[in-house]
Amino acid sequence: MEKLLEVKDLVIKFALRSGEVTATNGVSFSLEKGERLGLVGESGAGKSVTGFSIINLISKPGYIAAGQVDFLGVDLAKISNEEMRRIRGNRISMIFQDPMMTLNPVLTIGTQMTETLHQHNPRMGREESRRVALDKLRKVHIPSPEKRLDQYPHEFSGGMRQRIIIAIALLTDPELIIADEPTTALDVTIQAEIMELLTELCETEGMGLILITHDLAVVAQVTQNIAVMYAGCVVEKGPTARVIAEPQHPYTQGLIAALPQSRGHGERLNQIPGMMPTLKDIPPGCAFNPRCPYVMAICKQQTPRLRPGNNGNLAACHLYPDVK
Amino acid sequence: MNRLEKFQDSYLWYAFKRDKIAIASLVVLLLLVIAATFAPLIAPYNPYDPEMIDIMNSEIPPVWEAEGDQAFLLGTDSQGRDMLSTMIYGMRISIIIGLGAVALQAVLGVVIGLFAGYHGGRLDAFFMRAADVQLSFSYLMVAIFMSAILQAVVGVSRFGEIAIPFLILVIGLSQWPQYARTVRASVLAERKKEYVEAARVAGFTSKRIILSQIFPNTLSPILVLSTIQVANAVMSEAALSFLGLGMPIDRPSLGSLINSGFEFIFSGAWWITALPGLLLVILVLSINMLGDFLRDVFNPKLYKG
Repeated sequence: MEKLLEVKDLVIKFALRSGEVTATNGVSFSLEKGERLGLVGESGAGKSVTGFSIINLISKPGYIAAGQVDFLGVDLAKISNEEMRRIRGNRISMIFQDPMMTLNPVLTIGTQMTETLHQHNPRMGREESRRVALDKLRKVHIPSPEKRLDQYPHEFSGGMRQRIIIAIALLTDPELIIADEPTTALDVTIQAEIMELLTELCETEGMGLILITHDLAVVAQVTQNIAVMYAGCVVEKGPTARVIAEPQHPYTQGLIAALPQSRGHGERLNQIPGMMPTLKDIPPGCAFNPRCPYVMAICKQQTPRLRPGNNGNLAACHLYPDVK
Repeated sequence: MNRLEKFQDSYLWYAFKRDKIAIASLVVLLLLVIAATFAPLIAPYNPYDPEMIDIMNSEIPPVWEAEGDQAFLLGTDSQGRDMLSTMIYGMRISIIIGLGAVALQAVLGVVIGLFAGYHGGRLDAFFMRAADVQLSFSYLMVAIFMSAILQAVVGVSRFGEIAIPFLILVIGLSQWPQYARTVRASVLAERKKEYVEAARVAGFTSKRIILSQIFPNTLSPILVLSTIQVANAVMSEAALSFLGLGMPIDRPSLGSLINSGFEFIFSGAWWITALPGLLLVILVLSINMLGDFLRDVFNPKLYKG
């Protein structure tokens, strides 16, 4: 399979008044064409910032301090703003959390869709762009799209709006879609529908998908591979089924043990003791060491690199021998 | 659903039907605008035509006064011009200058407000400080300076020919900060919204984000402000003309008519000043009332109950 995206040793920093803060510290992962990858972690782990860094749109004062983002052989961290703008929304699309907010309230769905098309393809005619928009609305299963095209966002329900946002993301037939918590604002039944739709579209259109979420159930349903993030680092990587069945890193183990399904009725839920450190005071060595049940002396001195665990998952943990 | 049906279905139409003041203001305003537009057809005389003016007819009072003349419904001014015709033609000039000045202010102010608000930083600081400076001295002062310079350049005799564009320019240039500030304020609120972020993520150029995404969201304050500004511009024009800086007396606007009659008030010819004054008040009041109505409709949070 051909590589679609390769993120290598990505370091993102925020230049705050009180000093520099490292949001991600050497994140690496890669994605093949048509692959679906889940980026999992709790709030503040650096998932969203990693997602935005791919399209080089980290909000100020954040910036990419080091690392590469190779998209089909082009390093997106190095190209000019204008070249990046042509890729954004054209070859890489992004879907956000809240479908109530991401559509322009005063423009019809049709206008918003044709605007996107004209931005990336100025020569496309009115008829043609309308036809493409209708085609994409059908792909996301919007009933009677001809009528819907002339309606405003407030005339749609939350689930419908997220479908429309997906349709907008599909307009230019992108190679990669980054979905940042696409179902968090929706109720559970709609969540399942949207995730099914995304999976189906990735398969039929051959698109890659990076799914950023904290919801392991969603990831398990949709993705082929998982990267688990903690305090700005990827701590475990591997095929979805294996990471969930046999997690190697103590953090992933803790996450999975904390799922409500793992306990019987009426029992207390498991939890990982302590809190994720804020980005300003990440402890030396392994960032997880204050909360880790297997903490060793070396964990407090040396930051572990990713290495194969017992079942082939990559885990950044001193429990497993480092390989050169 | 076509546009007309959509409009009849809208909240604007619904609220309008229930607001007697708004209906009355619109009717009055429409009558005045129609009269002004078709002035040559409606007015009984042409006040610009010296052939039709007879100095012997000067200072005839309106028909309801004892010395009134059937030929001149609202009497005549000091030069023997029919007041009704002169007022209709004058209102036409006032409305042209008002609309022209507002169009100029709006284009300048909206463009500056949109780009300054969206880009922020130095651009924003520069234009907003310029606006502050501009608002810190009166437009009358600017107008006096500019008209003095212009009259020196083109000569007093030819000043009358360029008076209309000159007034549009002076009033337009002096009031752009109103638009710039209003638009900038709503851009500042809009640009933080997620649809702007989404547009950026979709690879929109900032020009396209500003013009096609943010601009439509700032339209309702612009519309409300425009009605107020048209009324203001008409009054500014009247004020300038009253001071003798505006329209010349042979092509009078409402303001210069008021001015021309001012010296005759104490000799008993009150109508030369009072009637154009009344017309000015009705014109400005109906525009302002409509503006109030629009503001209430577009900003339901101000709903008075």
